Amino acid sequence: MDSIVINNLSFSYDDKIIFDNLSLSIKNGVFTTILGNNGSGKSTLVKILCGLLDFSGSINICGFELCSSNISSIRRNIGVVFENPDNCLISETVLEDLAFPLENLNCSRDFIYSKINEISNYLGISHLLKKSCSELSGGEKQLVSLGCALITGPSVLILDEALSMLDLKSKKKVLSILKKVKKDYDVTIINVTHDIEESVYGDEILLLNNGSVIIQDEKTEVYKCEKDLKKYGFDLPFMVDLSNRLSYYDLVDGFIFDMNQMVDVLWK
Amino acid sequence: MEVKLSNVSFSYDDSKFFSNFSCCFSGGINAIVGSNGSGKSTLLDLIDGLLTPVSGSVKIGNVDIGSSRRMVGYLFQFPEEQIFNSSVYKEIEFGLKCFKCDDIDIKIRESLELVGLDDSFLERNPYKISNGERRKVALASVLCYKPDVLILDEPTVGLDNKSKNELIRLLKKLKNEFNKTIIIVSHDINFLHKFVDYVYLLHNGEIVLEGDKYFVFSNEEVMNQYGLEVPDVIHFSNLVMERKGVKIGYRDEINDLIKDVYRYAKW
Repeated sequence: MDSIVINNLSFSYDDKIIFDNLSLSIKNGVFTTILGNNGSGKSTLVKILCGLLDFSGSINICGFELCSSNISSIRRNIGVVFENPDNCLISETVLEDLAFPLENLNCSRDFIYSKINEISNYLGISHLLKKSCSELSGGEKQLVSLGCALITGPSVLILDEALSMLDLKSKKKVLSILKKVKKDYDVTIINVTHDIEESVYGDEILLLNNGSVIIQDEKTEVYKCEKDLKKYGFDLPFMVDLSNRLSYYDLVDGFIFDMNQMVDVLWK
Repeated sequence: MEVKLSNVSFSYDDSKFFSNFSCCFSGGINAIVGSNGSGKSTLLDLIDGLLTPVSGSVKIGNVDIGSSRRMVGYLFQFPEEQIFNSSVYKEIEFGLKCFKCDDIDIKIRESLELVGLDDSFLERNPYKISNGERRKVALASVLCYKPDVLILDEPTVGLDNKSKNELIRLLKKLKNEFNKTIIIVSHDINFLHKFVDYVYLLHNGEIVLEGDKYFVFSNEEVMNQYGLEVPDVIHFSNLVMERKGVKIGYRDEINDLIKDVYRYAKW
């Protein structure tokens, strides 16, 4: 079963059409990068999937049809991490922020503490539990936000430009953790971004432009469509670009994503 | 236009953040980099006069910042914090009216064109356009009154690749054609490496390293020590030296790097 199936989605802000009969599906257990420029409709799509906007068409999430009577069930199956963690972290301490989603579900105190223990250890943030979120770095805040999204055990994890405020080091750390989360928690991950470098950590890429799907395929197949990507304003990720150009000179064969490996291949 | 901080001290509450801090931005495009809490945004607020130092001075040219607010334009990290009108037109108009400028309508349209937006945006609500478009509106509302110094705090947040490249072209134009001094804070090292001239690495309110971008960005040990990574093109060159003992050049773009790799790897 696909995690998300969208059929004939239409949506407008006032008189500006964002989606006009959009149809797409996201496979279960796959890390999909939804790539798109400003104005492509990426963030609007996230808001629609969270049930924050009315729309026409049909959307099925984890077997539930997205409508007002199913909204609670759907929201239990989705965890979302937004761009600005300061808009989502509202409690006095990290521990209280992690507890909040489970308190809303009326979970017992023992269960809440055991889940906080599990998630904070997994994400490497247990040393932050007693701290105020205002004391944390950007990367630490997004890890806490990720913990809040994961703690309820969602089937789908959506990140909406969640890494755009992070420095390179923090971004790579969070993306590596996401790869691990997909495997360890059997979660479908959707990373909505305009940064194609982030797609290297995922499995598939879906390119959105003006509310339409341009390409959707495994990342290596999408990277072969360099002309299409350039047409929509995307350069290739650094290592993919390097691999492509060096392949032209017969110095490497295929895509090499790891820089150390690339150097070893070039200077055997 | 020179921006000079001399012996500036500043505190939040009781803890001194900047203590006898001095630095000088002498034109061109200057980047301030550093990890969270290093003082980057505080430094920008001091330069713009949003914060007042306890001691020391901040001068734009030879004029104290308190008397030269019009000479500095500041683009905030989150455009929502500086946009509050119901239309793009009124938003850009606000600054021009505050500074009692002439030819307001012409200046509004010129600044919108400069940031790559057309007249169709004039009557639109700034909160019903995309993040990137909103950021451009904020930039237009700062550029419209033609400041000599432009400060940008994390301007690439929310910008796609196309918009980032447009921003780079615009900033180069502002430097080369309009002779503006540009000071930019960003964590996007790859973006900065493509076009900045001079870099200041800040840590705990002190400059720990400064110089042209090759000097600072190639110093991987110091950058890592202060929690930062270096640009991908630089990291590749450093890795080749470290693992294979081969020195290839430091480049801005992948095109030039490929030529070096071909030369040194093939032969």
